[in-house]
Amino acid sequence: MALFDINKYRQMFLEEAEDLFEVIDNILLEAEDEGDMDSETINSLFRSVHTLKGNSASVELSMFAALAHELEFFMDRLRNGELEFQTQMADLLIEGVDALKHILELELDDDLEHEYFSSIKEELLFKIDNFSSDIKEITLLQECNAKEEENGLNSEQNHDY
Amino acid sequence: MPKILIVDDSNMLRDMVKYALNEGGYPDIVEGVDGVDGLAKAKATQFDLIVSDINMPNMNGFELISELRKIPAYAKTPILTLTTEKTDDMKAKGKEVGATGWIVKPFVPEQLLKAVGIVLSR
Repeated sequence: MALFDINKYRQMFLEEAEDLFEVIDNILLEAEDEGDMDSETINSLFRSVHTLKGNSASVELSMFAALAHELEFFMDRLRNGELEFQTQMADLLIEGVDALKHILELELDDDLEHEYFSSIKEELLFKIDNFSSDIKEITLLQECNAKEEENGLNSEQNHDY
Repeated sequence: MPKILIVDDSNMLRDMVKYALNEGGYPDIVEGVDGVDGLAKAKATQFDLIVSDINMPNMNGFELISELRKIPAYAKTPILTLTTEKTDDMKAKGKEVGATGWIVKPFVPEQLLKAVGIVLSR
């Protein structure tokens, strides 16, 4: 059986990618302006990046697919409620999508060094991790405060006795 | 000759699946662009096999399979999912709604044809 004609399918991928990037850009710019993103919009965003990831892997753009996977994973955490949307996340995602477009251009031109790709990916992951850590700290702080209040109330009650 | 319905929101992926099936000797193919379109086409024509994506707008693959399994004519029709999802949770959900088989993208033509051959010969 013949293999897929990668050149033909890469061209089809690019045509679809252009439309998907337009959808993603519009969603993120609106989210940045409004400081909000409802669940339906997050789903649409996730689906677009998911399609980019899957289709790029099918046309052997492995580094693009790997970077798309990191963004998709972050979006999945937004989608399932593990992270709550904040305006700064739109900036991070816009930056991530710009990096995706840049990587796509280089990988298509066969001009993407693995070392350079790794630096781009690590920079993005660092920003994502920072964001996630901030969120975790806020959550922990709230839990700590809640516990302190509880403890304070308990000690007051103890004191009254 | 088996009639096969391909449901995927990506024109590129539909074309790849169609190419692989045509090369494997399955020329009778109809395409659906999402779950809603796929369901409408499945209701209009009886297919022998459905190959569907999972993440699609309007109606996803899980919803499509679930709707198809409510139709007596599709109660036992083989339905293969073709998706980048590969976690056990997603596969379990696929099984729960009635998917026959689960193929992970990216796929090679031989892999798809092998799965198609198995489910059509049952």
